[in-house]
Amino acid sequence: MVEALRIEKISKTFKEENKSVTALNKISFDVRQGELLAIIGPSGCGKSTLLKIIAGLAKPDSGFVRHKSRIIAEPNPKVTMVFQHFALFPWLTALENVKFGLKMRGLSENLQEKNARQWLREVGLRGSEDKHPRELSGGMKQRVGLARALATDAEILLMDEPFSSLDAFTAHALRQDLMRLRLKKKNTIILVTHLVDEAIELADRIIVLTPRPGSVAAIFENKLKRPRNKRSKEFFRLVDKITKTIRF
Amino acid sequence: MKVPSRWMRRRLASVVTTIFILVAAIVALALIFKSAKLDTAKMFLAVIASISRISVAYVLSLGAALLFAVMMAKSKLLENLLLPVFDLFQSIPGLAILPLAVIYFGKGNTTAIFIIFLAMFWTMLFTIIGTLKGLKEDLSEAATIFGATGWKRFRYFTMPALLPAIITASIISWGAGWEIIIAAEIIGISTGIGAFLNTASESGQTSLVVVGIMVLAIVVFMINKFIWLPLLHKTTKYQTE
Ligand SMILES: Nc1ncnc2c1ncn2[C@@H]1O[C@H](COP(=O)(O)OP(=O)(O)OP(=O)(O)O)[C@@H](O)[C@H]1O
Ligand SMILES: [Mg+2]
Repeated sequence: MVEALRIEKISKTFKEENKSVTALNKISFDVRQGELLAIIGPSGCGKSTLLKIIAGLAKPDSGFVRHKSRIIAEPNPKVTMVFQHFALFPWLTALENVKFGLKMRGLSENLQEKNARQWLREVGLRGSEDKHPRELSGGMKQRVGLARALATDAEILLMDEPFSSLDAFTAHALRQDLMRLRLKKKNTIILVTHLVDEAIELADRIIVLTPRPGSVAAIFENKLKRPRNKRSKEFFRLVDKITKTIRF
Repeated sequence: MKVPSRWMRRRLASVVTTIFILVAAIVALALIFKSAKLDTAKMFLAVIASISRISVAYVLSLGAALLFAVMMAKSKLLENLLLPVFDLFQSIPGLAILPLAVIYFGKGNTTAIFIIFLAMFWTMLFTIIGTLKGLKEDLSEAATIFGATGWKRFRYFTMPALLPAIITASIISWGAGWEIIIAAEIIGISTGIGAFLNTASESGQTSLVVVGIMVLAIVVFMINKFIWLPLLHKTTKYQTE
């Protein structure tokens, strides 16, 4: 098994005028190449902060993130992200949103167009290429967000509660799509979620974080066979096991 | 129900202003033809002089506001340094600077442009600063994640994100620009439509003054209707999610 990322003793404290909040305390774990790793933990335990540090958007006070033999300290083409509230550029169409990352990386106009169209088709948005975000439903917006992330050649896909602002049906459909697309693209995925069910349905491994300051409380291997039956005994057993380790 | 009635109101307002402008144009033309004495060529040159001054000042103030706002958004130090200074300067009424500007720059274009610049710059600057601060954090994170840096970031992320605010600020600034340039041209600058109106008034040529005002109204109206409003419409359409 190949290591994709090493998270090494990362700490982060936010200092404001008179108080300081320690979000992460010496958190360490590995991410394996090609796995889907779910991170679960109580609200405010530093999950989003952790993802931002892995993406190079925020700097840890101490510790580091290593990709292969390189330390990641800056935003990096190897890492991409799907956002909780989509973060689509409202002035661009769906197609232009997907092209954005390719354009910034200097791909030719032809390749941008070809890749972007292909990924919009993959997420089921053929015919909506020229719509602006405000003309799209929440589910469609997140599909654009997914296409935008997958169209880049990043190996590592970070997802911060990507389904939590969608209704249950749409979220279900998008989870299915993610599982399907994952087989094609073979990214390493880190998924932050607050739903134990979602984590077990999707992930190969599940990391439970402690309440703030976040550190690793427990790690679970999820060997359940795919597609996973959410009503099976094994599923419920794992739900129980994981839920017991979550403290609020 | 709400949407069509608003649409109707807008439609009605637009019809009313168009009629008003047509009437103004007819009155102006009638006056021009009635008295052959009117020096219309001179009047149009005066209007063009004023518009050119506003345009130059506008481009300068937009450029400067963008430059300072983006720099201040980048560096907290610069922001803490400049903001109090700007706040102080902003409180000086623009026309109060006019006598001083006349001493240094004379009674011509430089003074005019400088005074309009001051009237436009603060609105542009503080609007852009405010908009940059109000940008959704995840949007600029997305720009970063997807590789937008340097000039490309400015061109493909910062500018489009700022555009609606820039258009709004531009409309306000042009309004302020017209006010101040006409006042300045009446008081201290010897050319431009303000000076033209002033001369006409002092020599008792009432119809010339009326025609001048009408022409001014038409010009301002056309700039709004054919430049700013379409731009505003185009940018706000897709901005608000
Ligand atoms: N930019 C910031 N400045 C100050 N404090 C911050 C900042 N970002 C996060 N925090 C604080 O750090 C802690 C962890 O925040 P974070 O958003 O990482 O938590 P989270 O696990 O993602 O929570 P949630 O499940 O609610 O999304 C919180 O207490 C939060 O208030
Ligand atoms: Mg979060």
